[in-house]
Amino acid sequence: MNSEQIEHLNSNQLLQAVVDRSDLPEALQAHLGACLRCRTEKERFEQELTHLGDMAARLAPMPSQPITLPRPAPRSALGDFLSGRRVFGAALTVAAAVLLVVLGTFVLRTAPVGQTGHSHQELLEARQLMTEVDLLVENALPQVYLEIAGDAYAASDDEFIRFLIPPLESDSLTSMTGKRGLVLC
Amino acid sequence: MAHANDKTPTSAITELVHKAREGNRYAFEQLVVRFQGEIYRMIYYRTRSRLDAEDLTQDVFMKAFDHISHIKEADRFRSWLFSIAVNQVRDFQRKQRFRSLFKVSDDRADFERTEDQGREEPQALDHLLQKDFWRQVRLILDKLSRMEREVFLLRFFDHLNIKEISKVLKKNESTVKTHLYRALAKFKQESRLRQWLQEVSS
Ligand SMILES: [Zn+2]
Repeated sequence: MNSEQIEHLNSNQLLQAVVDRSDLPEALQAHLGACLRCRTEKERFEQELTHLGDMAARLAPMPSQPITLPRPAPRSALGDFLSGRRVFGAALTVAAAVLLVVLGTFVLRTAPVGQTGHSHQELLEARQLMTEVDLLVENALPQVYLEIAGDAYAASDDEFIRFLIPPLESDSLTSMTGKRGLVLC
Repeated sequence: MAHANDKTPTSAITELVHKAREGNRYAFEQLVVRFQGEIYRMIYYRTRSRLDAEDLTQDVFMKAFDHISHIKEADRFRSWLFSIAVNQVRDFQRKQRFRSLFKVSDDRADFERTEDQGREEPQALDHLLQKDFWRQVRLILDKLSRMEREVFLLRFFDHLNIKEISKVLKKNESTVKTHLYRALAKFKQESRLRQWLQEVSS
């Protein structure tokens, strides 16, 4: 390309090329690629800027203090595996909870006899109450009514039960409606 | 000035970031070794004070250490670190301006003073060169607007590309380019500094 026949990049376009060459119109980019004069001018300016940066780095002081980072937390094999400070915090909470449980158990075991005796008595009463409740659940009628109704021996008489409540498969009504409770009404 | 660590391959840095993100302290310490000088200089260019640069660099790495587990793109660690540094400097300068209202003197700034503490005493010629250089730089930087200055520094002093600058400053790329263009136009007019740079380099 004969650089004398065409217009060279003006100083603003050269600046633009230094900022970002790809922002120039394509024709100017092509000219810059081909024209030695424009390219040299651009490169000379870029070298000045590079030199400025290099000088600054060379003539700037060096840091004299090392960087101090926070002291690392004590580490264990598990700690190494579960690295990270949040995990460590969670582990610390769990450890505190375990410690509380252990301490709590220890305090209960070493508590005065009167206190443990009292707790034991309460436990026995609670068990007795639960046994009574279980009996009521099995059959809510008092013994005297069970004897009148003959139900006191009903549990051992399967035939009598089948008479009162026929098995489901033999009940056409329940199998038709699909409502198991109907037969009892 | 030794910048050997600046040559760490990007893949190695990404690997270190991955490990540091998982809580590997040693990996983070390696990242500190790699980036401390760069971040220190970045802050020094803006605060013009060695002591403030020391303090703020420490703060930047503390913040990075606290938040490393949140970094999403490990390969963008450098620009992430620069974002923290930019914010730290901004915060610092805000406080400086507030202090200046009460006429507390800025006696830590040493951009115009020579580097006469701590490091090895430079030769007389270097000493003058250094003093002259920072004075010239200050002259040009003071002529730029806040955004022009920040973009110019990030691009040519800190060597970030347009995309990275855009991320660091949370501005779109065309805004960054506009500020950079204006800064360059002003720099181009600074024939004295440019002449000086040419003389020094020749
Ligand atoms: Zn041309």
